[in-house]
Amino acid sequence: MIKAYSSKAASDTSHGLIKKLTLPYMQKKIRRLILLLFRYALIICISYMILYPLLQMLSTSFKHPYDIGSLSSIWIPENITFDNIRIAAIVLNYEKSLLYTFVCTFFVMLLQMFNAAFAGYAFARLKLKGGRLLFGLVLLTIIVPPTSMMLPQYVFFRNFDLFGIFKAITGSKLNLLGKPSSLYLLAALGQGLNAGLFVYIFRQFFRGLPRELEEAAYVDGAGYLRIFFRIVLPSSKPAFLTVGVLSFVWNWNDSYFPRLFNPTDQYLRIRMNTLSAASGGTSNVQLAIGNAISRIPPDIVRLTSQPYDALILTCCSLLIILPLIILFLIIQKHFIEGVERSGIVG
Amino acid sequence: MNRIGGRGIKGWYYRLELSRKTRLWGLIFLIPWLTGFLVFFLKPLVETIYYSFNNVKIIEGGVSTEYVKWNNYIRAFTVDTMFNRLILTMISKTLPQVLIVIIFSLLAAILINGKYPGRSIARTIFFIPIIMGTSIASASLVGNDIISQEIMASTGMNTFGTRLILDVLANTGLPTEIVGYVSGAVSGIFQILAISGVPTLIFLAGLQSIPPSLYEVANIEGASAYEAFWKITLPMVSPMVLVCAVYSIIDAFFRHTIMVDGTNYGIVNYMYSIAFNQANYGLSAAMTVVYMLVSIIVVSVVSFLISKVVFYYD
Repeated sequence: MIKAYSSKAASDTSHGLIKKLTLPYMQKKIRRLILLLFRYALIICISYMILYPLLQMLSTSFKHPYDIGSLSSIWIPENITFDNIRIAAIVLNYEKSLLYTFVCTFFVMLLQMFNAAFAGYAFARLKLKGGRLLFGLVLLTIIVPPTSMMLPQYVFFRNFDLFGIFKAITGSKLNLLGKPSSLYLLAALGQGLNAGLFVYIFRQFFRGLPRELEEAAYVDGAGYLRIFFRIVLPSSKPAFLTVGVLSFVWNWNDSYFPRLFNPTDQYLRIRMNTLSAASGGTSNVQLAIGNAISRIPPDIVRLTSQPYDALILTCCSLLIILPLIILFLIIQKHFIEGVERSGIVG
Repeated sequence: MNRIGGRGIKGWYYRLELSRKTRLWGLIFLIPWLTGFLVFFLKPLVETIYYSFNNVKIIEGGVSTEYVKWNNYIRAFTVDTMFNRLILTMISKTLPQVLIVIIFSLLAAILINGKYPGRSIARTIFFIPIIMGTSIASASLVGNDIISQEIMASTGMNTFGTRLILDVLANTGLPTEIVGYVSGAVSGIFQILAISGVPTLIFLAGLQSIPPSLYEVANIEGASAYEAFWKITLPMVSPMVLVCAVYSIIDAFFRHTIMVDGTNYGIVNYMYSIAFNQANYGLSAAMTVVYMLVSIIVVSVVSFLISKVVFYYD
């Protein structure tokens, strides 16, 4: 019996060996290898395209102004200098503007997130009369461009009043233009940047949550608000993370809403737009440098050529997206997992 | 009356049926959004349509209007030199771009969805455009256009191999339109990368929701990876194609810009400057109405066409 067993095993291995040497097997193996190589090639190509502008920006920012246009170095600058970054920070009024932009964007993000969560929960779980129609209206807000409401919203914020209360107290209507509260109000009532999309994401997410948990809580005597805050919120961290990150980043990069309702230079994007805008005669960058001349240390090299202005603008862009890069490095792992688990469009 | 809960508002609430209670709370949860919708969406929308038939002036405490029939629309299409061009190029440039964005983002989503060594690094890099959005593209435009062009002009070098691709294509005997289109797409690759962030995200979520059992069955039945893609992956993500197409069209319309005589005109910027720099609010309102109608029509047509081929699993 032992003999029979061993002979069977031997025949098995020899058979396996022969199978490995046959043509179809080899073909399959080679095809798989080629596919793998192709995949890596594609990934590397796309990664290069994604990283190219970023690396280009980095390498340009540290270039010495005298080296502009020199071909002796492509990626790593010959003379590394921080002068450009320092000039850009002064021109942007970086520390103050950064704080201001961060606070504004953060509050807008919070308000947008909670408004969208409430609305999404109502659409997903609480059976409204005409809920489908109302959700159609959400889709309409996604499709209709915000420019269509530009002028009436502007007039509204210029003459803001709640049922005549402010006029009765102060004698004139409130002018909310130029104050961050106009953006907060817009976000809190769910009509800021891409707000419809956030409602959509939350609705899809809440529909995918198991209903049993909420029902159990209801049977145990919890009210709807308590269910929402104690049970739904803790189990929907991925959706909150996704929406929060998208909202923060989009609002950070947006210049349409701030320019319309709160056009102060303290917004980094607005400042950047002013700097890069075309103007006759002297460039805006040179004007800004001239205005801040007292704060620029004398040992920094400055030029007055057009390529130098472009260099400073590149440094400004780098400074503006630097917080986003840091944010990305901190949260990217959670964010990717969150996106996968939230199943945005389920 | 020995009913539970007593009288007053509390008792009234207590005696409600469950379905009515749910509805009531649904309304309460929706109130912030609904208020915003009425105050910041519906009312302004109606007002904009009204303004577009009027001469509008901003005065202390509101606006003054003067009815001028279709004059604003006639002016937008016949007198204004830029608006026609902006709308036409917006449609003709955006639709092919959206096609590329969808193909590219589906490819990117499939690439980061698979399992292979080095996957986490690839993922991190592929998520950069999602997080950074267009800020990179705009930065690279600032960086590249002026500095690099100057260098390249002085040395005769050319951008990123575009020239090589053009030469090859031109010698293959393809029609010039196709060659021009491909070269345009290659030079706009950073733009495409920047706007394909959200579609990639949507496709990734869609790919994650495909039940793995489908692939297992296909594998047992002897389907190749190629067949599995066309017969499983594509039908299963086809609803996401619809979502992505709608999102990308809206996004691309919003960002649309053209270069005329070295100046960059963006459609949104243009309407903004007509309203707030030239104080011609009525004309701007007419333009925004046209822009809105064009967006809605294009989106409806595209989603109608796509919904013909979309496959819904459940």
